[in-house]
Amino acid sequence: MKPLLGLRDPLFALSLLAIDPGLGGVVIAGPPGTGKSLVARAARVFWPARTPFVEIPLHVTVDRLLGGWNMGLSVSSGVLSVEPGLLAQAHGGVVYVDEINLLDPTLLAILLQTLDRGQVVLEREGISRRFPAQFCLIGTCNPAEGELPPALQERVAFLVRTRTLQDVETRFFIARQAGQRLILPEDMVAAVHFARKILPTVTISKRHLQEICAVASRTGVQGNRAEIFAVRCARANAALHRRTMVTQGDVDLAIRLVFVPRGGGESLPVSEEMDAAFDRAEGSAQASRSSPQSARQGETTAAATHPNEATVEKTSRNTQAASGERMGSRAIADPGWREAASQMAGAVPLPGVRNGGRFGPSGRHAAGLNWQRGRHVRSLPGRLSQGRLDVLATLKQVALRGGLQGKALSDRAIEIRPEDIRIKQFRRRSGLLIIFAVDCSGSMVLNRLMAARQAAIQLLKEAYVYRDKIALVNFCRQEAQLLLPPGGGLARATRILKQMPAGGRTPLPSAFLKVWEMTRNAASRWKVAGSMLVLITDGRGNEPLTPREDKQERRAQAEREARQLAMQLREHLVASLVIDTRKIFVPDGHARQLANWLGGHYVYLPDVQSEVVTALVRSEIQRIR
Amino acid sequence: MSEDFFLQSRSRSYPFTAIVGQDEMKRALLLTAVDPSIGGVLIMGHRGTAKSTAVRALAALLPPIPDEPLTITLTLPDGVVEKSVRFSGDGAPAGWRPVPFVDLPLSATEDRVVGALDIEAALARGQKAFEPGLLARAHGGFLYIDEVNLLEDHLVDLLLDVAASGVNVVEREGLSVRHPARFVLVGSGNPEEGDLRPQLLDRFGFYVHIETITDVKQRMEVVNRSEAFRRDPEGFTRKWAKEEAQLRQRIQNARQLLPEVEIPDSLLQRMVELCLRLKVDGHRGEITLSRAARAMAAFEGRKRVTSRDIRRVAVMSLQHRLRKDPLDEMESGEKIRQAMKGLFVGSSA
Repeated sequence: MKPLLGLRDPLFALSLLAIDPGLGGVVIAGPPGTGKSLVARAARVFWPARTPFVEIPLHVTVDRLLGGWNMGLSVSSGVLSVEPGLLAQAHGGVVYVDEINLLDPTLLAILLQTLDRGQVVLEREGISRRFPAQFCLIGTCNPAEGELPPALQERVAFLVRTRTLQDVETRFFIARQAGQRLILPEDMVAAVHFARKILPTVTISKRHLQEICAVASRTGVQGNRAEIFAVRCARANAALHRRTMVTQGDVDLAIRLVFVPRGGGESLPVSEEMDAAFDRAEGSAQASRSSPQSARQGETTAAATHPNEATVEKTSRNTQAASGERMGSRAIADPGWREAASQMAGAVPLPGVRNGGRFGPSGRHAAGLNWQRGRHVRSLPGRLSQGRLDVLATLKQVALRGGLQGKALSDRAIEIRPEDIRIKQFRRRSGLLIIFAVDCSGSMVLNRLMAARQAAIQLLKEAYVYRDKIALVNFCRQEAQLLLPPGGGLARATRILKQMPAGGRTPLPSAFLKVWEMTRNAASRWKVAGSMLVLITDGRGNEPLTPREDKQERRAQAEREARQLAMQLREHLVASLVIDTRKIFVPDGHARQLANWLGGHYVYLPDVQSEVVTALVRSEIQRIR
Repeated sequence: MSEDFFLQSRSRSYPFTAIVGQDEMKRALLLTAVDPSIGGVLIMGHRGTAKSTAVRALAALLPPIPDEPLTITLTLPDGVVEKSVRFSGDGAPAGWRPVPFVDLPLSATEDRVVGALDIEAALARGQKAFEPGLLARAHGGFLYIDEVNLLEDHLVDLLLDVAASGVNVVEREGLSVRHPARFVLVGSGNPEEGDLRPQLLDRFGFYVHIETITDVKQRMEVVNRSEAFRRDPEGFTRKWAKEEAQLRQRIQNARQLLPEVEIPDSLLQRMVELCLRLKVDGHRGEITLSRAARAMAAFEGRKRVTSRDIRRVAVMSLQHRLRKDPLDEMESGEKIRQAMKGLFVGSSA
């Protein structure tokens, strides 16, 4: 079991989902190469044999997802037939999406709507059908590649992380396992199957229900799904432990698993309780351990432990602690940054890290109507070489000019003339992603942020026309923060000021990294034609991504990183604007240097006003549109 | 395993009367059922707050309507043909049918929304026939769009055209077809996912802002009822059947009473005054407000509108019609409540 150490949280969450599909789903987050998809696929054995397990590729089409005409069968049999899509095939089982945070937002909305309804509502291309589609959802995501959509997080009970373990042995094991199946111990699987049987008999007391609901009110989660999930989680955990009454331990676990990630807690802390729970679930009771947590949680079975595991884990923690506290904490909070940074700098990707090739530069692409990608809007006369044939529309054309002469499709010999050919036309949205990056370090922060926020709001109100997306990043202290993710509406923008840290150092490289993450897959993820950066700052960065002790070195490192990242960003931006808010004008100051690196415009604006910022951005947009 | 679990859990809709709290949303939906001319409801707010559950539950609650066929006018090369189309509806007595309640999915294509050439007839028999779309089905009833702020632009444009004229005109694939399409638009969504086009916003009679229940006791009730429904939908529905029947009867009574409900001139004057104070553009504000107040009175079984009726419907009738000022932090509901101060006092006229 040693090699499963880093995958325990996901495995545990998946076992609970298999016990009660009413938990909606599990999203497994973690950097690449930590075994996310390995564990998701391996967990299949938790479900009864012949349970559908349908994998949805990121490039799936709406027709494939929901169903459509089966043209092959229709033409050969002469009878039009409709083929159910992937979601209908998953009825009664599991839908699995690898890198679900990169799924096209439209497809995600369709997927979630189907999940809510438990039914595919197919109203497309002359077809009006309903298919039952009740399923639960398993997804993986690498948070460094894009935020997890809140709508998705709200529909699943669990967001769990793979733990990055530093020990060579585990990494080696996972590397060796790549491409192979992970075999789970039989007793663990048996425990899950037994738990599913007894689940309906598990009850929860009023006191425990009240505690869960009180936590929901205290943490201020949106909606009532969280507490419903938490109650189900507690019951499933009780069933896993062969109990028919929910205990305090089950409730604590449920609160931790369901509410902590929702309350903004980035990840679950490495939890000994969960390990203990797992050891019990494995049913291998050899030696007993009596730590206070396990005694509190486990009221029935004695906790078992594997001495080897404990040692491995301790060692890995020590290693982290030894490598400097700041570094350690950053590595835990956002282990993906290092890989991202190395990709950006054009370095050789780490083993197991996907290189950036799939996400081509999203910057300099015009978009709109085209023959290849996007949403199918209509079909027009054209040549076969031009794009994708719309078989149905073409056949309709033949029928309309009388080419069928009342004969059925089964008569085979249908004459299709060049003028009958219909080619699908697609639309890609042609809006822009406008990213405000606001320096909130030092003093006089409020002016800058207010101006940026006001400009963002103003532009949001105009955004209907071109479907522009607005984002806002602020940077101060140790790290940059995404305050307004692209696609967030006015409601979210107006709330910005209420949750804002300020002061401290200037982590400019961190801000550039955030911007880069958004822009590099902007076209596919945000459906925009290009990205534009509006940087509002009064000085240079002094907080690098790579920690440095000495003040001078820190400044130099930050500058090196800023320059490197700015040059990379340049490739992804259609325009950039650096607004210098220094009180005293310095010719060729740092802000101008930044503008040069970014290949953008420089504006000196000591008392930054929202109207001016808005006007500047607007004129820049008009120039490139 | 899960199949049984799933199948029994979601096969029927949750009873409207069993929805905990969220009174404003429920009131808006009920008043629209009493008077469809109010112009529909838009429910925006937190996720997981039973928005779509409530809308779908309303469908099951509505009393049946007379079964009249839809007349479709086709213009053919050799003249104009009128055809009557009936959409089957079971569970209603002869001559009646359930109120049409059409769910418009985000993935719908234009041809299924407006209607198009019947492809099966064309390909199998070489016939040129019109296959009615979702708008034809929704005629005389409700059209529901979940996640309305995510709907594709070209579908929104189409809906706006039809909603304004009440007629669906199809000119495509060599067809020339028109038929009446009058329906109540119901939408729901989460404002953080994106904004709604202002023209579409204006189409809705009511706007309800919905938030998560914070009362712990109510939350417990939500969990209990949701679990009970999942475990035994049939039994749960039976348990609430009496409440459902009573509410259905109340809607029916209110519909009958509605034509007789009057608004005292003094109150009407003050409604106009309220809209002026709030700088509401156009007349849609006071028209919706007066219709809503009459429906409220009818729902309460009265023939005369009171100040209290107006206070209960003012926010949902007006809050999406105020001019947005990004610098103004005050919530529009609060602004309306303040503007009403002194205008509508007491429970009588």
